[in-house]
Amino acid sequence: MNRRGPSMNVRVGRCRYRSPVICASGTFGYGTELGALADYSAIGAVTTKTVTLDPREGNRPPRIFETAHGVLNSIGLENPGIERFCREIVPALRRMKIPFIVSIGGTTQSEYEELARILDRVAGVKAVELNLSCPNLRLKKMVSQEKVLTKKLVAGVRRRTTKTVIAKLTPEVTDITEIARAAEAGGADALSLVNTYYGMALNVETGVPRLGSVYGGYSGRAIKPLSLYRVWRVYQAVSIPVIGGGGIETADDAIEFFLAGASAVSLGTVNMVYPKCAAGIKKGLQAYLRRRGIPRIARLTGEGHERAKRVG
Amino acid sequence: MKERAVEIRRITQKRPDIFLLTVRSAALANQARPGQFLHVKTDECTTILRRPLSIHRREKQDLSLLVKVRGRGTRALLRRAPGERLNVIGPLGNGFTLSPFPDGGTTMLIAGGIGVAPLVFLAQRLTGTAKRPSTGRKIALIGARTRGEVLCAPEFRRRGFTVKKATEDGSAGRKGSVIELARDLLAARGDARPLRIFACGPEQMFFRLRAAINELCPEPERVRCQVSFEQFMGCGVGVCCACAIPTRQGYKKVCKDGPVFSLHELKERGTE
Repeated sequence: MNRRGPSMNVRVGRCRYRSPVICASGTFGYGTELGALADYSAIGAVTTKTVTLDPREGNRPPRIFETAHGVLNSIGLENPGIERFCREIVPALRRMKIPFIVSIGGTTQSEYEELARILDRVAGVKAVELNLSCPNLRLKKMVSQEKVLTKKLVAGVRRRTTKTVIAKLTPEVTDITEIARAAEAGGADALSLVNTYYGMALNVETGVPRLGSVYGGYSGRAIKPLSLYRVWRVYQAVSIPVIGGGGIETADDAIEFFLAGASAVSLGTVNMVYPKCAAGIKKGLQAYLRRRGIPRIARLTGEGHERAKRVG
Repeated sequence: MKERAVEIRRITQKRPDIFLLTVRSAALANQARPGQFLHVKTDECTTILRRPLSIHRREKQDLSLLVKVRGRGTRALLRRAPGERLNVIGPLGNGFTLSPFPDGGTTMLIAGGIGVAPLVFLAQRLTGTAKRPSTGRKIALIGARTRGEVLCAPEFRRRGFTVKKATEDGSAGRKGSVIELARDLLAARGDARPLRIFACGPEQMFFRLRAAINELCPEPERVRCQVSFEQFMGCGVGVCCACAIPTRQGYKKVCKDGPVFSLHELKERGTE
């Protein structure tokens, strides 16, 4: 351990991040809007709101509803489209020196491939995250609910970019390790686990669903144990790094994800409440490493598995 | 806009389900404009997201929020105590636009239920601290379910407003909704002298107000009408796109493009 304390650098795929704390797509806008409300120095990268080829206006409101222990949303990928994104948002991100991962989405494989091809030439893009798991696109199935589709789509994108390719998966499958292996086989450099769970709520007075699109994605503290379990399982199944998240609010939550096998963690819902939360979580991680005499955060990844073996 | 931990000065119960929460922050009080809101973290455990609450009043370094107990969040807020710190982000939103208004024109405030909250701060600004207080007629219409639920009438009177009430059960003022009361007044005007309206209340009220203006005002498009909207929010600062509402120019964000919108640009829900 050097005098500046434990190293917080991590490698995910083909590039390094100055912090293992990443902002999850859809919870931090495009990264530029928050200004002084955020503490960018603590953030390894901002994953942008998902960008699609053409602009999308999003789903019918209401789009958010808080339940007893989590948050339901149905935004529907509202975004200005790739062209305006590249023209207006990328320069702002670069000006502000914010490391960023671009989340991309679409309804066909060729849309993902086209987006990846366009972004391959855009300087400053650290990685491309394939949103294969948006619960608010009314497709019959999400890509990451199908292992054959997942492998094929990832492979198609892989051929069109030299950037790091991250596949973001849904937890809504029978066996997430199968999908994770399919993404790895398709050439993904890393996995992001997990997107939201399907959920809904109804107004008991009126009988009307709380979300304008009836059901949506469920996130927040309620999903943490569920997400942690999936990270644990996937870590055992693949050899590519995992960005783990789902309900993280505190440094202890984040530590659990590292122990379960995450190489970096993603903050989602909590960003909407405390835009500076990455700073507190990074600090808490450093304090934990110092206390245990661990020189680098990367050493923590998967430690829980070693411990479990010894106990078992 | 900034995230701050501000001191809770007072929590005063006004009605069984309505309370006034006063926080101290000179910086916030100086920046705040009528129609803006604070995004409040009610407490650490009970809720996850913040709650957007209109700024109700300003007294020197203090800002007050008038809150109706609706669910877990507002109940948790009521349980907080003076002296504690409250984490808020704000002031947020666009606020009411106070553009020059001709002398002799009429200013009408229309409050439906707890919608009275931002209108008291607006009345303060329209009469008190303005460089040149407006000289025309000032009317405040307050609607509630019953007499006991009519809020803030003295606050408006003190600032030179003529107060008219409407209650659903007829126990105070006109029986019926505040929009029916507004219709009476608009119908009685019968001329095209300048009129500006500021309204806050349940969403359906706005569309009934628009129908009333279109029907009863000789030149409806010249009536300046700003309405303050309520919607469940995520971030409150324009990044999550959760608080969208339909407008004639597509979806807009209540937190950043609003909460105040021109009545003419709104679109009724279900027609998007």
